[in-house]
Amino acid sequence: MKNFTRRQIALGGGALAGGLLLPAHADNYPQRDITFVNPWSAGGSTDAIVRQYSKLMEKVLAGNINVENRTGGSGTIGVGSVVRAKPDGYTIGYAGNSTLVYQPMVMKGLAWSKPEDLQPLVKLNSMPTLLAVRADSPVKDWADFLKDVQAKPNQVRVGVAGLRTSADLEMQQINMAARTKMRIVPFTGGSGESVLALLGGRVEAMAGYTDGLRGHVQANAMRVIAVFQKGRYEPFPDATPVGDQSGFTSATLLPACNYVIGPKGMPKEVLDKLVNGSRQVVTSDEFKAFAQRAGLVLDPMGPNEVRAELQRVVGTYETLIKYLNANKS
Amino acid sequence: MKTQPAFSSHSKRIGYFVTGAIGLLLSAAYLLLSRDYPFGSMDQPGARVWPTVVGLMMIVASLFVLWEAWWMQPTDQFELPAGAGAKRVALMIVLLVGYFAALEYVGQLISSAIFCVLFMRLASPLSWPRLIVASLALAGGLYVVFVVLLKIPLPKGIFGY
Amino acid sequence: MSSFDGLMHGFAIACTMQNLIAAFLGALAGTLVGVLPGLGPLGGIALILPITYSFDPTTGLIAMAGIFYGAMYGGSTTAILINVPGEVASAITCLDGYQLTRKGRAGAALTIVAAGSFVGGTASVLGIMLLSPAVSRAALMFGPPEYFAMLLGGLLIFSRISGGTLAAGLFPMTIGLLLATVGQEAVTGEQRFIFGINELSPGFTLVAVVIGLFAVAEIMHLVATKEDHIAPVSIKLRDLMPTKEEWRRSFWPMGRGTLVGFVMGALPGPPSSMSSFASYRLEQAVSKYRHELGTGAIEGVAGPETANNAAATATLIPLLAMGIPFGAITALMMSSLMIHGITPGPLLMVNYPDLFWGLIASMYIGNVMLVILNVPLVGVWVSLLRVPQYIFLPMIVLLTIIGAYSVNNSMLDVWLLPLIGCVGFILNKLDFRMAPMVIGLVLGPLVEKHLRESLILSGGDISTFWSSSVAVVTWIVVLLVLFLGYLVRPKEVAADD
Repeated sequence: MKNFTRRQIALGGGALAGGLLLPAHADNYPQRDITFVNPWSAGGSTDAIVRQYSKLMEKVLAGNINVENRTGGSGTIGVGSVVRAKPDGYTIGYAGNSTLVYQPMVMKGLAWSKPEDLQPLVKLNSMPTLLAVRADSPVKDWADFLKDVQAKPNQVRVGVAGLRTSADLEMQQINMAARTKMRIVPFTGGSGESVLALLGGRVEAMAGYTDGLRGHVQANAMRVIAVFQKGRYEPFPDATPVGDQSGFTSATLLPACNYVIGPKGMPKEVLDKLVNGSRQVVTSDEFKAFAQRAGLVLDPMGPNEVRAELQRVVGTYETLIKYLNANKS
Repeated sequence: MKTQPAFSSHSKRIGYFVTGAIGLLLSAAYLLLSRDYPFGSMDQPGARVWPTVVGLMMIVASLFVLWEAWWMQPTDQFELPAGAGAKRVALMIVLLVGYFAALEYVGQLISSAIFCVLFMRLASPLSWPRLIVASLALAGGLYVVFVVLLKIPLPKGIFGY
Repeated sequence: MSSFDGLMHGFAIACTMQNLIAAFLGALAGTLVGVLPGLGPLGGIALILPITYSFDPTTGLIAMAGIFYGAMYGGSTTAILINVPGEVASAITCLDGYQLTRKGRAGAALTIVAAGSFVGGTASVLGIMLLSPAVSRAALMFGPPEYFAMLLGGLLIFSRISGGTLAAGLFPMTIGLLLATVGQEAVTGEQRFIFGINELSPGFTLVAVVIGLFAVAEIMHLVATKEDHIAPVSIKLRDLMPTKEEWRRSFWPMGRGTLVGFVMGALPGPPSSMSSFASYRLEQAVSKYRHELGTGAIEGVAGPETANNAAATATLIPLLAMGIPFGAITALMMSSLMIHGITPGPLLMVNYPDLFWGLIASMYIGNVMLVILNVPLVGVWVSLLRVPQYIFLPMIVLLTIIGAYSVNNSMLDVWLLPLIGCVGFILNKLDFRMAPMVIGLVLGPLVEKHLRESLILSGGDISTFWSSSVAVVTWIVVLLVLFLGYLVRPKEVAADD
């Protein structure tokens, strides 16, 4: 995790202010509304982050940002439209690492095939996958769960909200790393369905994210037994951080990481404004407070670090895909 | 309410036979195309399962259509536009196609205005000046409400409208 | 806090100036949004979402709920007046509503709709207040195998929804099922039948198909016949208001519609847009005037529109009682709550009583506001019919195109309109029914989804479809409904054909 030094922020802020205060400057970006593409449907957990970011960015850039939902293709349609957009800084978008790195490996004809084909602007957050069981489940913690799964191949069902989403890929990774055979059941109607399935006893566990689970944990209907990251996870301090367990290196962890991206080839002044502005937004107190409420893990990164992070995930996904293809029934 | 003789009658029985035949052909093509997708296994059903069910249902439905055609009275009729009516419908379809094609090039505002003018010329006895005014008012009014007020994205042509 | 105390507390909150204005504006915006074909409550709520951040969460939620059930009021307006459904749920209202307009009873129909919507909405709020815990428990009893039974049964039951012969309903329904399979399949991500056209990946947009089927086909018919006006128009108050007879006939359909709507809205499986279809089908089965359905029977408008509003309000139950949003609209509401730091969950009622009861009280108020708003509007809408057809028609065409495009920003949807319109036009002339096609489009993907989920969950064991008692009961109910008509009135049913 690299934090931006105050100097960088000051420089960035100064450049921004300078850019805005000099009307005679050739670059008066933004001169019109910016479109921010959300490749997921309105009302998903992405919505809150996207709108929060836009709200704060509007103030920083002194412009108007319109959030547009362009859904479909597991996020590829929306992301594709950003990658293909004119690189004038008026179209940017939201993208997760599974859409950016995993999808091009399994889908043909996308507008990008590797992280170099687009311009990352900032990393917004990571959301670690959580594993939850019903409150009355005999499984007490991660160790129990692992034993259970190893003893009963193909019998333990774990619900996830959609095929090849980060939660699904994470559980497949665990299957691969621990050589277990959990039956992963994709529910396509959103996380609500896997919650209902868990509460109704139709699956033994579910993998999801904080926002969908917190209310139920508070009501003592569910327990979160594991979090797939290294180190304690504040919202659920009792959950075992699987990244700290032996046998599960950081390569097996695939938190959902979300970024703001733009098309390749934007002019330098525009790019700088976007990058610095985004940096300001994600390090601001307001954003931090929002993240805390929503259970997001903030991990501010600039474009180069994002590229590096995406590159690291490529290897993990490639191995996972080989494993999935080999085990297709 | 004036109703003009804008329709001609055709045998419903033949209509049903044709429809049933088209249905069978469609289902056959559909089932053939769905061979591209995997059946999967019982515990991991693939993308071909449901289309197969649908294709079979469509075959059954088409057979029902043919069955009803068989038992239909030869005198049962149905109406399709003919003469003046058919010309009007055909012209309207041509207009619509032109309108849609123009949408991406000259944008919503302009193509809508042009469409209105042509359509109203086709359908009413108004003179050109009044037509143009009415069209601009209509297209312009809708533009203001939807694009400006509600900020709904609509095709923007090369002129930016 | 007992229900009564809670409600009183809620009224205190709902009656603040800020919340009253929010409710009114929400309801107004919702009505307008509902009237416009294509643009639905989802778009409306997404538009105001950023604005709600600056207010407190209760106010925001009140406004959003207002838009939601307001849209259910408005959606039927265009369906009745010009055969253009405002959204999918209003498609069935086109059947009898438009015929009523042709008979000169547009005003009466609109008034009945306003009244029915009020009844459905209010009763549903009552249901939320009193039945939320029971509904939550019931929701847990249904899983994929049970929903499969229910929805497959729905498909079969609704195939006869518009009367006519068996083929007249079944054939278009299978077309609808077929169209629904085009696009990216949700579970495996397989792209089916798109022939390389990426725009088809999300599948055919439901709203575009519905508009094409009903509106465009009707426009073609009007152009062909070149009538001067769509319907005889009189704005005498007597003709605007329903007759005593019409009120009397609407009474039971409204009651039945409320029940059907509430159940379908509260259960996560069946889509709430099908509530109006279910009500229509019910009226077909049990109403004394069922032989008039399709030619302008008031039952065909009273029942479905009541069910519509009851369902829309009832969909809030999973969100409020369990913190689980179903459908994009409730998901948006949940997202707005989360931005304010409120985590919806089973404890919402306990932790945030202000929010819960304030919302409930506001929904009562909102329904009243809507009735007061809509009844005078009836005169306005009906007088629109006086506009000569050559202005009216292009306006409708433009509206439908804006509506179709705005759903997905896709020109494909616009091109779809005349295509589906032509198909619908011809099939209509041949006496095939269009409503079953909509049902195929909506229910088809859901039946497939639950089929596969059931098999994945059971590990390939088919007996899962009849192993739980709820599933067995559902199958029995489906079979009863399907064949009851034949058993009880075999002669009548034969005469229908």
